[in-house]
Amino acid sequence: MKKRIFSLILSLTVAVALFLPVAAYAASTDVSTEVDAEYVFDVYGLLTNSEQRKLENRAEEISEQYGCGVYIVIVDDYEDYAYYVETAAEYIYEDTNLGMGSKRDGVMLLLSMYDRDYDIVAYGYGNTAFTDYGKERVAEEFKDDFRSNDWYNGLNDYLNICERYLGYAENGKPVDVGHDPEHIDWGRVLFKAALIVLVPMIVAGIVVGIFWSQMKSVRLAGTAAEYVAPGGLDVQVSEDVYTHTSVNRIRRERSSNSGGGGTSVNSGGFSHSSGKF
Amino acid sequence: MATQVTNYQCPACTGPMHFVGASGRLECDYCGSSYSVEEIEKLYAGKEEKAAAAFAQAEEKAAAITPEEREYLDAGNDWPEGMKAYNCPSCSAELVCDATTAATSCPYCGNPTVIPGQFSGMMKPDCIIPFKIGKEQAIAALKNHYKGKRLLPKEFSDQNHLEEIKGVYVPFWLFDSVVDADVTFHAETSVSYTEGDYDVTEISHYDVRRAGTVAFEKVPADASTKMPDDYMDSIEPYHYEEFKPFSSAYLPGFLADKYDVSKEDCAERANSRAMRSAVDEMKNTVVGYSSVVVEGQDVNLHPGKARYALMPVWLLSTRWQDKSYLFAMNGQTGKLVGDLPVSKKRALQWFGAIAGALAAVMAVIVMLMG
Repeated sequence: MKKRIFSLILSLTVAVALFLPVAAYAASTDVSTEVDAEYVFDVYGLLTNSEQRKLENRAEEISEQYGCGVYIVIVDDYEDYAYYVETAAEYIYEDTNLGMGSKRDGVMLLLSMYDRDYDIVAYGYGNTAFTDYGKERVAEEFKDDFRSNDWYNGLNDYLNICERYLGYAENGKPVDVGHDPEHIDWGRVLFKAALIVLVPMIVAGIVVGIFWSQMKSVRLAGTAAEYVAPGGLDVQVSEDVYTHTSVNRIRRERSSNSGGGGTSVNSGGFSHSSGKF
Repeated sequence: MATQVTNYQCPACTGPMHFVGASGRLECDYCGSSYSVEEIEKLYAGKEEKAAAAFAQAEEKAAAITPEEREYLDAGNDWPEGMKAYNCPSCSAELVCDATTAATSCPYCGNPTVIPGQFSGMMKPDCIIPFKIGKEQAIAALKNHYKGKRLLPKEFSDQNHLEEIKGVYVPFWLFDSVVDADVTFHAETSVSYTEGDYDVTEISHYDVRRAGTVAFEKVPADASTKMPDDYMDSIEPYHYEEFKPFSSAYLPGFLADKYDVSKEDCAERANSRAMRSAVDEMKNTVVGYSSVVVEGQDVNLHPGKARYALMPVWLLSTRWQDKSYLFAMNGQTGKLVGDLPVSKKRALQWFGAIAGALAAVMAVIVMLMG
């Protein structure tokens, strides 16, 4: 009996949890009905109508050119839709029926203004054009503007970089680890330079040092080990006393996938990159 | 007046004789006769005694001369201070040598000459290792010394000429000693393993002590100021089992000096070597640890017997670009040492070639890594 009551309560909770965000989202989308939104949904009311219209036109232009939808959704709090920002982004993408073509190709930037969270979610061809590394670079592009509350320019930068990244993908070389025409990873460059320049120089120095030492064969003797008399060593005291044990613990570095490329796609077909701005 | 100098002449033809290392006998340069050291000793015992007595007499006389008389006597001499003059018994020419010279050759008639007085009485060496390596072998060893030296200027081996080669019996002091050593160490053993997300290293620490004695036999120190210590150290060791009782008959054909560095002065160097080795010997008994560090030491040396010995050394000098290069060779074992000039150009070429080749390989690896 107790089990039945618990199951009923859980079912109701889930139903309410699902209904409320949908209702809230449905209500909030009404706010931006002044602009005929297909790509830029400002539920929060962050942009002026003019800004939204310009961004809408730009997003449409890019999406039409590459056949891959580029979307912006701005909400008050993602928790109105789901517990996690990634789940909320997937929910909105699916519920609003975003994406282009039969495979619903697209990439969407979700901004949640309450706690300044974002999520870039890709689907279909979007997963090809926007690798995990690529999505991180896209986020870097708009975050600096958002930090100074320059929303329009930040979103405009987002659209511009999406356009460029779609262009790279169309040429068969999406931006990924090891292929980023717009970003120089100085750490990696220096590491490679060290491998190519420093390591050979060190090895060559050691070898030439050995050659050099072969030229010197005259030195004063410091010891007389050869002259110990046969049986001349007589050890009378031999003490080995254990004093203590010290323990060093070093945390093992977990292997991260940041070194590898590609896109991590979940079972729903989405890939994400999220964080704070 | 009896001569202080002896030259060993062939009993068969009176030609000059010299000691030959390969055969271990004295050989005549002219008729080819050869004699054992014992035979020559027997033949020349009386002559050597007379020469030694004449030497002692001359020394006594010289010691009795007042400074004023010395000034008067030296007025006509043009040799530097510290030199001595003898007369060659073969050609009567004047031989001017260092005060320490015990064996040389007459610059006029070329006969090997020995001054037995330098090695008589208290100055007589306890033992000698005769030459085993000949002059030709020494020259060949020098050429061999150049081989495989990648930084040697090419012109050095082509252009440098052997200026001088001489076989010298070098005076050495050989010191016995017993060293008391009480040494403390910090030693560690370590075990590494993985525990969850951690690499764990457990280090066990130990206080280790070793105390005892180390006996040293015949630690050598050269006793001639003419011989660079580092060269003499570098041609060690000699095989002491081939020591022979001293005899002047081993000297003809070679140079020899009596010691001019006292036993006490040489002992300091030999003893410090023994004391350092005593600590090393104790350390070698501390086994089973991953690291052993000396923490404290109390080392005392008890000096033992000191022997006076003559050791065979070939000295070879070459000249290149107005600079002299000295090489020394152990006349018993053939070990040859001598610093060689370094071609900075060749060093740079090697550096560039190795670094360049490796850089190319690394570039390919980096490209494959992506």
